[in-house]
Amino acid sequence: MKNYLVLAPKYLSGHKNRTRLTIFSVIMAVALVVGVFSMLDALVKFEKAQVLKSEGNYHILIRNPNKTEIDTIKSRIDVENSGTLKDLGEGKIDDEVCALGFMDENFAGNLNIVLVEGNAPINDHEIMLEKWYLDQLALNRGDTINITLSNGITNDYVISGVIDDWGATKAASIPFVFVSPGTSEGLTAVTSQYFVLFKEGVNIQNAEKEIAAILNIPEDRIGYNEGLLALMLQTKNNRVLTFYLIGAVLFGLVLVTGIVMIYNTFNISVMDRVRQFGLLRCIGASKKQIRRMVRRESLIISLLAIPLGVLAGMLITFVCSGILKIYNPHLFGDISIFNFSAIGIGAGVLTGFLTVFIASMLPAQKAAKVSPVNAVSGSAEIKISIRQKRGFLTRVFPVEIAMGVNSAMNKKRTLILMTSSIAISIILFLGFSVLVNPAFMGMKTDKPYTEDLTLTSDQAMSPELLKKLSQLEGTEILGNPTEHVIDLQLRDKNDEQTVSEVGGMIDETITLHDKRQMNAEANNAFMTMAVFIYGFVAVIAVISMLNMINTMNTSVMSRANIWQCCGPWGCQTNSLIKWF
Amino acid sequence: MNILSTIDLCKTYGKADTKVIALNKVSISVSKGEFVSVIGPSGSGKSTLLNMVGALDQPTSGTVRIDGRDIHTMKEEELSVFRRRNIGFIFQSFNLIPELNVEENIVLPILLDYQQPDKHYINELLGILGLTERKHHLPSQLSGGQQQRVAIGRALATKPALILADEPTGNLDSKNSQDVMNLLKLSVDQYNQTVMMITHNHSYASFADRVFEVKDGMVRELGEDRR
Repeated sequence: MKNYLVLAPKYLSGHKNRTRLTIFSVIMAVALVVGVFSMLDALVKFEKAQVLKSEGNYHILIRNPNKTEIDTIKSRIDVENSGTLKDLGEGKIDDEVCALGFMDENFAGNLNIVLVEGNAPINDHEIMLEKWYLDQLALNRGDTINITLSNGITNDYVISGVIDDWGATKAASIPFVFVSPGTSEGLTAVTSQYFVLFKEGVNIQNAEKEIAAILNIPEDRIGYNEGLLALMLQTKNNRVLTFYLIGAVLFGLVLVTGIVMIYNTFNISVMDRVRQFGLLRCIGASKKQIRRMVRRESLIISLLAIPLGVLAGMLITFVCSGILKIYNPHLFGDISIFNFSAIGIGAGVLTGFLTVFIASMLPAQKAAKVSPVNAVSGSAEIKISIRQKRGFLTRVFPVEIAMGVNSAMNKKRTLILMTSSIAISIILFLGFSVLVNPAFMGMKTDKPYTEDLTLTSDQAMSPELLKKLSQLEGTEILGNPTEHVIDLQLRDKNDEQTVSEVGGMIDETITLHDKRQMNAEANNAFMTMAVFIYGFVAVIAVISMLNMINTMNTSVMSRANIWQCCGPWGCQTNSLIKWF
Repeated sequence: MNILSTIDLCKTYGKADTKVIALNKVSISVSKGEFVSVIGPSGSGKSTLLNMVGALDQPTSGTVRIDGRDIHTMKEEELSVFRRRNIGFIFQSFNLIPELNVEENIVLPILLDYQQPDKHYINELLGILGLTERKHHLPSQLSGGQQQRVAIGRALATKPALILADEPTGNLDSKNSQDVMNLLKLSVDQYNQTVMMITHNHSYASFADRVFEVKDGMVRELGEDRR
């Protein structure tokens, strides 16, 4: 033994059960926070990847910009990259309709126009085409193709580059033809959009306002990549902010529960050792040294518990991502299972140290306040002033209830602790289900008026059809059907016969959309979220329960001697129970 | 040379009608290398005197000087340092740290002073106390007598100016009590320690060089008239 602080680990290993309980609660708190934040982080990353894929990597766009606007914005210091996408109308390849367009080469990648072969058209006789179309026509790079442009001029063009398929154009079977800058100048653009990507750390809302003000661009000419901006927390009023808010609320809850729980354990451990601290003061320990000893204990607990908590949290994240992926392949099919979230781990480590530090502060103070007289007198109570005698209580209530009230009142701190523990549990149950309710977040889709089948048509649907549909058994027409859209709800979701009957009633001008699969998936997503959130509430509830048991236990233990006195006086078990 | 002196030491508890005078103008002095004992019935103020002398409690009035310093004018932090260097305590209920073994319990006061223990001296102490074989045992593995010997070792470890013993034989049988008394006497003779011991037992009180009797807060030296 080289230092008096060795006493801290010796005490901890001497009281294994208590140490384990404390470590366990810290691990739970850390694991929860790591889990919550890692999941949030993973979800945000995943959403961001989805947005970049579907919307493109840009922040704002200017519709139909002029040259001055483009030049001004391009030369701004806070602009990372920018480029123009022009829709140059329809052209024809061998009498087949094709879409003509132009994209600035440097920004093409940001809009998921990925060059797989060759290079972008530079000369006026060069063009760029989609892979699927070239495959369809069995053409290769370097081949020539005859195209009629939107201004009616027909010419032979050399395929200079091949780009990856665009889902939208492929599905519509209309190939997209990218022309050279020179050719695009000669054509009138139907629409043109100027995309802007700002540098990292730029306040996009301010920058956008500034641009609009300087160039006098009306609001309706400015578009936003809402999804991406939301994920960057650069907009107000969106779902991601709600996500982060939930994260913050959970973080706070875990922190509070953790602190109360760990505070309790520390408090008990200090109260048990009043005499020992008195002794230490007698043999020359200063208040500072006593405080340091208690804090050293908390440090050891943190160091043991935090790594385990982080590991547990990562495991939770792993399992959660797995569950999401398996049960919700439609929504979360592309989510990565192994996540290493610096934010999550950081938040977890922070929680660990913070809870333990805050929770041990007061008990350490209390331990330091123990008078050395405690060692001599052998009393295990920190001397507290005896307040006014509550004599009237015994007159108003039966004696055992009065004693219960009395003992609760006498130990003011215990009372506060116990009440706050119970209060926290109640707040958790009530507040949580309102605050973090998936339905409240607008995730639940299964409203009573969700349609299962939708009939749409470009041409007017006849009133007879509507009549026939309304007479059909097993379905119901929702809302106000129009000539173009009729929504139907099935009484039995698995009623295939009715679906085929509806199918039989319509001709080829009407399309039948079966939405049951999609609704089921949305409900599935809701269920997954609900399971997570209520699972979390359950864990928090377990922590608070443990906490309450712990508190009651201490309170009982500390008064066991009083009851021993009561026994011979004829105190019955049921009167003891009333004591509470 | 006086190692301990009290001048007009008073201690009262409570106020007005509930006022209790625990010590009333106590003036005593103890020289270096003396073994004094304090006797008196329960509630006479013995423990209060010990608390005052050990700087565990503040007197209502009067001063206590140890090694020439007025201990009740010191600040809390300063007092802690003073206590760890100059006062050794021995309690009736041994008060060892249950998680530390014999040797660790003995060197703890030295470690609290951020010093490294003198191995030679500690081994010598363990030899005198007859605990060499048991130095790695925990207090729970020792008999009462052995535990009290560890406590004596702990009090002697820092070579304090004054050792205060509060009924050190109170929880021991006569054989072990005899051992403890012999050790206290030995520490006075061999290390020139000053010991102040509270006891109920008049026969152990007579081990001391001088005996004080406390009665209703007043302290009187027995046999003083004979001197």
